[in-house]
Amino acid sequence: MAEDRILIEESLSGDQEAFRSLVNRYGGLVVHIVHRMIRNAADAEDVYQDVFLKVYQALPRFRLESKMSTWIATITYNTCVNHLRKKKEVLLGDLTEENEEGMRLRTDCPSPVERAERVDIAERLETEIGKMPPQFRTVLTLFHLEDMTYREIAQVMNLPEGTVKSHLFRARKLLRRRLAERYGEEELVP
Amino acid sequence: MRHLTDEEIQAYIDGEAASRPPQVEAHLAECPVCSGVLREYRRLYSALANDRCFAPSFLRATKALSELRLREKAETGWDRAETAVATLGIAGALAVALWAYTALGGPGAGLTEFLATSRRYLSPALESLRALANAAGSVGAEVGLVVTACFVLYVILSLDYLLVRPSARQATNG
Repeated sequence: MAEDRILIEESLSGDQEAFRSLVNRYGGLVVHIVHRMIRNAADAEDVYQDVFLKVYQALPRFRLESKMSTWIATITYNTCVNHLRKKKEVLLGDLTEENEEGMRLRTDCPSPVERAERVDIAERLETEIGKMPPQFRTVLTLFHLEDMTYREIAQVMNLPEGTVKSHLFRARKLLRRRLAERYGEEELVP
Repeated sequence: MRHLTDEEIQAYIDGEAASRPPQVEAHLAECPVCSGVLREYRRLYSALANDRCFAPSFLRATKALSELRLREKAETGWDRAETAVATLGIAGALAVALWAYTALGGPGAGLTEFLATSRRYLSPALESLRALANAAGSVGAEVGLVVTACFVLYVILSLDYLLVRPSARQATNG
């Protein structure tokens, strides 16, 4: 926090290197959120730029009352949401029971080919996460990759804490089921 | 025997105090079905915390950042141009004042009149500039440039006032 304060003050006084240090420090957070929300690579590049520019422009208005990570995550999330709205992509979709049932029926038994293709579990997981609506992807990202609390995630996404918990629980339940049914339990190896 | 729900098992892993009662621990110790689900969830949590798949995205972000640097450089150049124009304007105003001081009477009887005239002429202009500068601070660099342009115009008008029209003023005063 103290280091953030110094970097912010130096950035505001025109020190470009200090701002770059801030970007390097929180770049991973931005990449995680954008990667999960924006599936198109070219669009993602535009969004990275937008996020970094917005952070740079909004820096004079940032007060260290909240955590820098929460603030940057909020800017990143809102930028992604605006981008998806412009593209008319579904943002608030849900994990319906119908979807879950459909997945179960389709994948009740992994084929020999699928079993032979021992793709890394992280890639399989990424594929399954990609099928979820953006809000569910973001909740998973902020909780598991950024170690944010329910309260922080609720603040970033402007959602009630109960909704965040519910999204997390349902997303993980669906992921476990999909991966186990599609690839077999023994392949759920980290 | 009732098996644990997915929600109870997830809460158990999340470490929520209320979800770790002794009976849950005991059930997990003796129930192979629930302990199997617990293992699957632990593996899922581990995989979810792994960001190896993000490597291509980090490369894209680095590329985007390098382009951002170019835009920042362009902005810096713009800022420098603004500063140069403003500096030239101030230098011009000082030069005109110096010229007026030495050529239009210099120290002596004319000085008081010159200073009074300059003050009358400068005060409203400076007030206007100050107001514009305050507004420009919140609006952006473009407005700052407009303010600078106004200042340059002011210097040109000053030159016109001091260089071209002194004879007309003298004629009027006379």
